[in-house]
Amino acid sequence: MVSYVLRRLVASCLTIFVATLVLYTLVDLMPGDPAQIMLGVDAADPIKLQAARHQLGLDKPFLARYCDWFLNALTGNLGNSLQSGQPVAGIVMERFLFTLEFTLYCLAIALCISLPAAFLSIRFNESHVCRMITRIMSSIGLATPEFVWGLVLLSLGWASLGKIPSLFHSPVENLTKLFAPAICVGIVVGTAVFKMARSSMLQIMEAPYISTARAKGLAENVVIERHVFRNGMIPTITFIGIEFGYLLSGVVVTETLFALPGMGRLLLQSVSQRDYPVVLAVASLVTVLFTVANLMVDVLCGILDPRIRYT
Amino acid sequence: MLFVLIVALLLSLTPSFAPYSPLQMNSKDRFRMPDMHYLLGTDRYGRDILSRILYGSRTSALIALASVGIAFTAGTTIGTVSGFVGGWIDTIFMRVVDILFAIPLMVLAIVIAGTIAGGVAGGIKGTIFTISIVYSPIFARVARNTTWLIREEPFFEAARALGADPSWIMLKHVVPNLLPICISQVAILLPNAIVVEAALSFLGLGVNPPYPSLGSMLQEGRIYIDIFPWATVAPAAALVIVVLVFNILSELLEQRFSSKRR
Repeated sequence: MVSYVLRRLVASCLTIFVATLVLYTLVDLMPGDPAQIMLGVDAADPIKLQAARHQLGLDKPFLARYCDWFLNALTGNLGNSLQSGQPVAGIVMERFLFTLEFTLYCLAIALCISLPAAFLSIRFNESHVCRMITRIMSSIGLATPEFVWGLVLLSLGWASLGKIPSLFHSPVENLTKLFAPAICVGIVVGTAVFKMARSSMLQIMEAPYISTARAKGLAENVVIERHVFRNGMIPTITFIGIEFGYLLSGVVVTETLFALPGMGRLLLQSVSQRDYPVVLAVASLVTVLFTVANLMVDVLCGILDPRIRYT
Repeated sequence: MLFVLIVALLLSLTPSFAPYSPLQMNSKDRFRMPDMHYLLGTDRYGRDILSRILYGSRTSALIALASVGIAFTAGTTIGTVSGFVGGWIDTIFMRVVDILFAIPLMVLAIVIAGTIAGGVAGGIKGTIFTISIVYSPIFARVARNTTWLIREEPFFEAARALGADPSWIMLKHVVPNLLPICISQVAILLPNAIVVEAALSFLGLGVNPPYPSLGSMLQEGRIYIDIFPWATVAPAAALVIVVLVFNILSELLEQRFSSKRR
């Protein structure tokens, strides 16, 4: 078990390292010279331009720049924003905490919607009405992107959220205000999880041990809860880990729509402003978040299903 | 099913169906609710919403089909070759794919769309480029894993023993067994591509205005949602319908090509 976790950990670190390299390359290809952006009008003067380039370290070769950036990032120095001159780490960190909280909130809502719904849909699977409702709701849920739900909510008037207090200062206000945006992402992710849970549970229903349980005289509720549901959760948890990436993506779009102080909006703003240190920092942080989530899911799967530990 | 055909017809023959040009602004007719002249009303610039929705859906469908097609071709080729040859080439390719997987979809799409695609004749081509890059790793991974499985099969070993040329084996044995799974993947990703394109356009990174796209129509409508919600409701409903249609199409595609063969 320990060796499995260690191997996964090493693989994750490697993944983060190379992913940041890829991101750095992409950002480097961005049109626009950072020195020129920083100088603004002064960029016309070649001496000042050269000095700025040297100050930003732009005249070093590519790999040297990348290594500098990476080593600095490990110690927490992510450079300064090109627009405001503020240290990037400060800008990103508060937004990162917000996005983290928002993501977990969306995930919680998604699970609260999807898991009971999956349970109910399997419990009453005999009824045609129930099956039809399931089909309709999952079609609508999957076909509607998050921002459409967001627009629906906005048009209903759940628009101006005002300043959202931190979770630690006033949790109730924070949660009530974030409920509307969280539901948008929660419905979409919840539907995907619902479909996955339902299909894995349907497969389990075919197994002989379910008929045995019923033959023993167990109440249907107990059969479903104890055998079908719990066994069905194993592939579902893996799926949730995969969906986490989509969750993060959905969070990005919803943050923009509801003007939330999160990393998604920061990413968009900095991409359009060509503020490349911020873009790099945000994209890397999101990747790290995703990789950590995958790592935790892998470990959880290793705990639940011992066969996986030998891969 | 009939509904799907109608929508498909509408989309492909749009120029004949759309009553007005989607770009033409009739300023005196701004913010009209649906009436006899403008079947779905007009937006803030006086452009007919119905025409914009038709053209926008057409663009979305085009982008989705093109990008999934490119991703399919590129991804399965790389995956098949990688799985077939094995060795260090396989390791390198799969590491690259893993890396691209590590970056969440929208984040990658935003970074690519914002950086490179802007330079590559932005708008439609850029969006196709972005979505193809984001989707290719999925196909590569699926193709490579399936190829690995096929390599274990007895008929593969038999073919090698008989002295068959590797490219012949690939074309004749590997690819036909690969197709059902890859088509399933296409079926999953096609509707998803529509949503991603709408999201990118919504964020301003996809199809450039004034060309219509369902996402950018949503973005434009959002600003004055209090006074004229119809301008947002119409493209939103259209988006849901288009995605549903593509879902149905994908299901049909999958039934036709995947389930029957395997």
